[in-house]
Amino acid sequence: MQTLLLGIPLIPLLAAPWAAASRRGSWLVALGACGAVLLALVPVARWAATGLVASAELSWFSALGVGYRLRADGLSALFALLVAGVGVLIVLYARAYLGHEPRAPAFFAYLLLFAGSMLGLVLADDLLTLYVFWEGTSLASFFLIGFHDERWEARQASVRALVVTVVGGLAMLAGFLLLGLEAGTFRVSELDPRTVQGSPRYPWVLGLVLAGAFTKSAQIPVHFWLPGAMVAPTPVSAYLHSATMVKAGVFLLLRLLPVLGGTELWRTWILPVGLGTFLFGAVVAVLQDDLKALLAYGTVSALGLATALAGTGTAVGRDAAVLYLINHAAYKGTLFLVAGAVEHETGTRQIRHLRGLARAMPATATLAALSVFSLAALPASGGFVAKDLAAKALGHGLEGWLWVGAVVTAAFGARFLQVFFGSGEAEHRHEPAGLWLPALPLAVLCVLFGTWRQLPEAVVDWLGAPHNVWPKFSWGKVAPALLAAVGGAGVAWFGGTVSSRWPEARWNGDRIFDALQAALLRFADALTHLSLTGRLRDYLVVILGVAAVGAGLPVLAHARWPEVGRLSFEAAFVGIGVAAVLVTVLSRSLVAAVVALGAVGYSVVFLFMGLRAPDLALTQMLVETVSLVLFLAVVTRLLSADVPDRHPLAGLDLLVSVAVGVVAGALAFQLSTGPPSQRLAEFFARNAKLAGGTNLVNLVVVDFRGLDTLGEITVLGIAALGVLALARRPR
Amino acid sequence: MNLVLAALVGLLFAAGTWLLLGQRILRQVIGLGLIAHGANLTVLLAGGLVGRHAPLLGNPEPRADPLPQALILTAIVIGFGITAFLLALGYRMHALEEDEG
Repeated sequence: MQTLLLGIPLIPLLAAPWAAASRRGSWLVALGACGAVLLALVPVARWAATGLVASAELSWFSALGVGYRLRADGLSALFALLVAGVGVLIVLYARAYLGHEPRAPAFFAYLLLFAGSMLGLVLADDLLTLYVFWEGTSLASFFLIGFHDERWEARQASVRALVVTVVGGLAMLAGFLLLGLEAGTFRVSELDPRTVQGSPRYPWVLGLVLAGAFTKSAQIPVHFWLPGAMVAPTPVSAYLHSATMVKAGVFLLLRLLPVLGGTELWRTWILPVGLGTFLFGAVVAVLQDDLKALLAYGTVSALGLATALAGTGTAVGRDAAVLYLINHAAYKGTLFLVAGAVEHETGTRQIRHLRGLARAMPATATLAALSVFSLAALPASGGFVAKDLAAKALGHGLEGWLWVGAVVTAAFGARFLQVFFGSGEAEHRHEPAGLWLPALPLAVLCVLFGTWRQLPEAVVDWLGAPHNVWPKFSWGKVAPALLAAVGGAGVAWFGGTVSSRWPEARWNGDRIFDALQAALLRFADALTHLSLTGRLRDYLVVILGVAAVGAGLPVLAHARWPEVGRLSFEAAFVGIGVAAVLVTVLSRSLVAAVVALGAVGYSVVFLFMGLRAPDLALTQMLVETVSLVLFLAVVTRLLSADVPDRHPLAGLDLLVSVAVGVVAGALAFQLSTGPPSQRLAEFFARNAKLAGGTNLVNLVVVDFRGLDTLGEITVLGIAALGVLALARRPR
Repeated sequence: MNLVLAALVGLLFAAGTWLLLGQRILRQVIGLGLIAHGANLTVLLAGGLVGRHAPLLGNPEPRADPLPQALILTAIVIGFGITAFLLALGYRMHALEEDEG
C-alpha cells in the first residue's frame, strides 16, 4: 500500500519520456499510464472511503526534515480520482482531436508531465513536495499553452501564464517556509493551528500562501492569464484550464483550511476576492463571442465561487466547495470538449457564425444541453445540489450574491447553447464518435449528481463529517433556479447584441502585462547601454574607482597614523623619483615623458639597492635600459600621433586618479607596518643547500618556484612572438 | 622611511591612473609603467623593511626576506614583456592609421 501510494505520481512522470519517444502509439502510452493510476487509486480510495488514511514517505533532505511524503485522505483521494479519471477521457478525446498532428508524441508527454505533477500536488503531505509538484504543473501548462509555438499569441500567452503562476508560486514558497519554521515541521498533517495562528507572522504566512492560490486559480486581478491560455489545444483547455490545474489554488485553501482557516482574517481576505471574481467572470463571459473565451471566463467565475466557499472557513463551506468543483469539472469539461468538437468540424468558434448545429451534431448538442442544465443549476442536475449547499454555506448574508451570479451564469450557458438552435447552414457536418464519446461519462456525471442521492453524500462522507446535503425539493428552492434560468436566457439575448459592439478593452490584464514586460526590457536595455559603453576608458574609471573605494574604506577604517621615523639616504632617490613622475604627467613633450619614465625607473633601481635587493636593482636597470631604447625607437615614429586630447571628463579622471593614489599609498603603508612573517624566509635558508646555491632570491626563482619561472618564460616568448608579428610593416 | 616610500607609491599610482585614463596610447603605456613600479614597491614594503643585509647566505642576520624580491623579479620581467608588446601594438596601430589616412 505504501509503495503503491508513492508510485502513483511517478507512473505518468516515468511514462512521459516513453510517450515522447514512441511515434504512433504515444496516445496508448498516455492512456495506459492514466489507466494504471486509476487502478492504483482504487485501493487507496477504498481506504479513504472508510475513513482510513494511507501515507508513505521517502526521505529527501533529512537534515531539514523535508521528505517526499504522500498522504491520501478523502480530499486528496477525490482530487486524485478526478485527475486520473478526466485524464483518461482527455487522452481518448485528444487522439481524435489531434488527428495526424506530427507532434502528438510531445503533446502526450507534456500531458503526462502535467498529470504526474498534479497527482503529486494533491497527494503531497509535505509543504516543499507540494511546492515542487505545484511548479511542475505550471511548467507543463506553459508547454501546453505554447504547443503551437509557431504562433506569437501562443508563445506570449504561455509566457504570461507562466510568469503569473510562478511569481505567485514563489510567494507561496516563501509563505510555506515561514509556515514550516513557525510550526516546526513541513508535514502538512502535523501543522498545529494554534501555534501558527498565534504567531505574529500569521498574516504574512496567510498573505503569501494566498498569493499562490489566487494566481493559480485565476482570481481577479490576475485572472487574465486563464482566458489567454485558451490558445492551447482544446483538450488542454478542458483538462488543465478548467477541470484540474486551475483548481489547485482552491485545493490549497482547502488543504490548509484546518491550519490557517477559521479566522476573521481568512474570511475578510478571501471572501471579497472570491465573490468579486465570481460575478466579474460571469458578466464578462456573457459578453464573449468566442466559445472558448466564454467558457474561460465562466471558469474564472466558478473558481471565484469555489474560493469564496473556501473563504467561509467552515466545514460546510469546504464540502460545498469540493462538491461544486467536482460538478464544475464534469459540466465545464463537457462544454470544452463540445466547443472543441464544434471548432474541429466547423473551423470557427465565433458564436455569431454558428447556428443550427443540433441537426448535424445531435449527440454533441445533447451533451451540451445536459451540462448547461448543470451549469445553470436547474433541478435534477448536479449543479442544483452543489449550489444549494453553497447557499447554505454562504449563509443568509451572502446568499443574494449567489442568486445574482446564478442568473448571469445561466445567461452565458444559454449563449453557449445558441449555436445549436435556429436554422442555419446545416451542411455536411460530421460528428466523429471520438469527439463526443469521451465527453459522455462527464455529462452522465452531471445528471447522476443531481438524481442519485448517494453520490454527493459519498463525497461529503469522504471529506469527514457526514451531513445531509440532499436538497429538499420545495418550490421555494426550485422556483428561483427556474427563474434564474429564464432570466438568464433573456440576459443572453441582450449579451449577444452587446457583444458584437463591445469595444476591445483598452486596459485589460494582457496589455498591462505586456506593457510591464516591454518596460522591463527597455529598462534592461538602458542599463546595458549605461554600463557597457564600448569605451575602454569608461570601464577603467569604473574598475579603478570601485577598487579605490572597496580597498580604501577598510584601509582607512583601520589606519594607524604614521610616524615619519628614521630617514635614510634612499629618501634622496625618492625625491628624484617624485620629480620624474611629475614630469611624465605634466610635460607636453612625449620624448621628455619617456625619458622621465626612465628616470623613475633608475631611481627605483637605487631604492632597490638601498633596500638590500641587489638582484632587483640589476634586473630593473637592465629592463629600464632596454625599455628606454624601445620607447625611443617607437616614439620617434609616433610623435605626430601624440596630440593633447584630454577627455572632457578630465575632472572625473583627476578624482579617480587621486583616489587610487591615496588608497594605494595608504595600503602600502599599512602593509609595511604589520609584523612580517619570516617562516618562508627561514624555510628557504634551511633548504638552500638542497638547491645548491647561496643567493636566496635566485634559488627561489630557479628552484623553489621554478615552475612559475617556466610559465614566465613562456609568457615572454609569446609576447616576443607578438612583437615580432606586429613590428613587421603591414603589406 | 616607510611613510616616504608609501607616499611615493601613492604618487606613482595616481600619476599612472591619470595617464592610463587619457586617450594616447604611448602615455597609457607610460602610465602602466608607473603603476608597475608602484606595485613592485608595495610588495617590497609588505615584506617588511627589517633586513640589514641582502639575502645572500654568506651575509649575517637579519637578512631581507627573499620571497618578495623573487616575486618582484618576476613582475619586472613580465612588465617588460607587456611594455614591449604594447609598444609594438601602438606602432602597428599608428602604421595602419597612416595607411588609411
